[in-house]
Amino acid sequence: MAAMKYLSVEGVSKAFGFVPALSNISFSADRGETVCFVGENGAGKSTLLRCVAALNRPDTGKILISGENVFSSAARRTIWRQIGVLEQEAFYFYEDLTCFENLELFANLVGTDDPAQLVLRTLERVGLSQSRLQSVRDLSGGMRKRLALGRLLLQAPKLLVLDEPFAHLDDAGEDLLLEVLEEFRGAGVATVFASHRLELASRISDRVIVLEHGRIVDTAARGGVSGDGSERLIQ
Amino acid sequence: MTSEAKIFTALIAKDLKTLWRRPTQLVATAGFALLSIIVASFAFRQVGYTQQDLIAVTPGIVWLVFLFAGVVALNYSFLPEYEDRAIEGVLRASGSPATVFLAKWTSNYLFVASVLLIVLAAHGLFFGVDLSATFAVMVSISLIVAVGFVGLGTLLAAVAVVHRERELILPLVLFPLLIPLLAGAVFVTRELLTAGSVDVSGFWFVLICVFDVVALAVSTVLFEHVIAS
Repeated sequence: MAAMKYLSVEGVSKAFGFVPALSNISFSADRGETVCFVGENGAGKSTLLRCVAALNRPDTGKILISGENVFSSAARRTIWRQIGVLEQEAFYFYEDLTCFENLELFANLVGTDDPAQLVLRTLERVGLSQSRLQSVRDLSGGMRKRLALGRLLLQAPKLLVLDEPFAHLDDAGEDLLLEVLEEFRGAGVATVFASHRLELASRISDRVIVLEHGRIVDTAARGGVSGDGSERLIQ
Repeated sequence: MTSEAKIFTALIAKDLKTLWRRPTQLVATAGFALLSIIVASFAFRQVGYTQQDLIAVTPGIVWLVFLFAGVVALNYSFLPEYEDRAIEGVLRASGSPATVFLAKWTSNYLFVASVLLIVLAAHGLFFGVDLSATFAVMVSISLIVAVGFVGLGTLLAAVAVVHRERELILPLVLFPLLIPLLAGAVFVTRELLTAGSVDVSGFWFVLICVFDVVALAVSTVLFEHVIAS
């Protein structure tokens, strides 16, 4: 019997009312592996990632991390702390607090020793040390994303779930994200992300999975995507 | 300091900072409480009620104003958590929904207790009823009643905040559940104002205490499920 992968998604389906969003999706990701989902708007990428991150409960199917169902009560206290999430629309920050205060709060929640020093170093790393006293409300989309990246660095997750991580980032921000993702991969972190950037996605991913109308229509290993799904996507 | 205590302290500090930087909650709640007392004083005092009449209506007025002002406070309390879905990050990072709830309860309790003091002081000022002899006991009763009120209110505010009609939903759901607590509060306050003391083994006082314990315990347990769903 094959050893169980770190993340295992088995037969996941979800509908919003009568509209199916995901149909019988199965895939897995091991530690240090990067899996990218590509597809047009409405293909089901964000819904799938929200299910993997335990933000949305699927109608059927199972999502297991280290063999534990992510929706179990025990998982809420243990597994959820291992999942680093970067969503498109929400970054989980307190708008009235500064960049420093938000990260300091987070560092305290994850039980970091000497959070202040670590937060200062993290802000430096993500290029926000000049903005440390700025309220999150006043940050641009790209700066918020950098701050969210800082939170992921503090969290040291075992699974990363990233929805369009390159959106809103300038070139420097994109380079920073690629560098951080490479670091996480080296540390054995499994990464699942969605992107419209097919070329970039196929370059940094071990596997690219093409979604169309909530179904997997193609899968390719690192280096390129082939098959009907990708052709449709590129067109 | 244990990790739970560290999380608890960090969350309360966050709430106080948020409250300080966005004074809307403070201004709206305190303003509402003051205005309600002033309007009530016109409705009763200015139409020739005697001191005895005013003492008789005091329990009802104080607890009604507290109820409405408290709901205003609770309605605001989860807005910062909801705006960028910050509560999601807090729950995931802490891994301890009960601690997150108890921290929010504590912040709300401190705030609502301050509102209660404003209501009592304003009542004394605008109604001209001398409560000085019983003021300390009155404050103690208020603080005890606030435990259950804030317990249930914090849980339901977490439910209501995701709805666009949150200002309507919270009182509609909360008020019916608070009837035993408010009835107890009114009867105990009346007993204090008429007899000068409260029988702590009496039915109404015991009801308040039982309500407090049940409301806080049930809300702490249910919070995890409410947020998860």
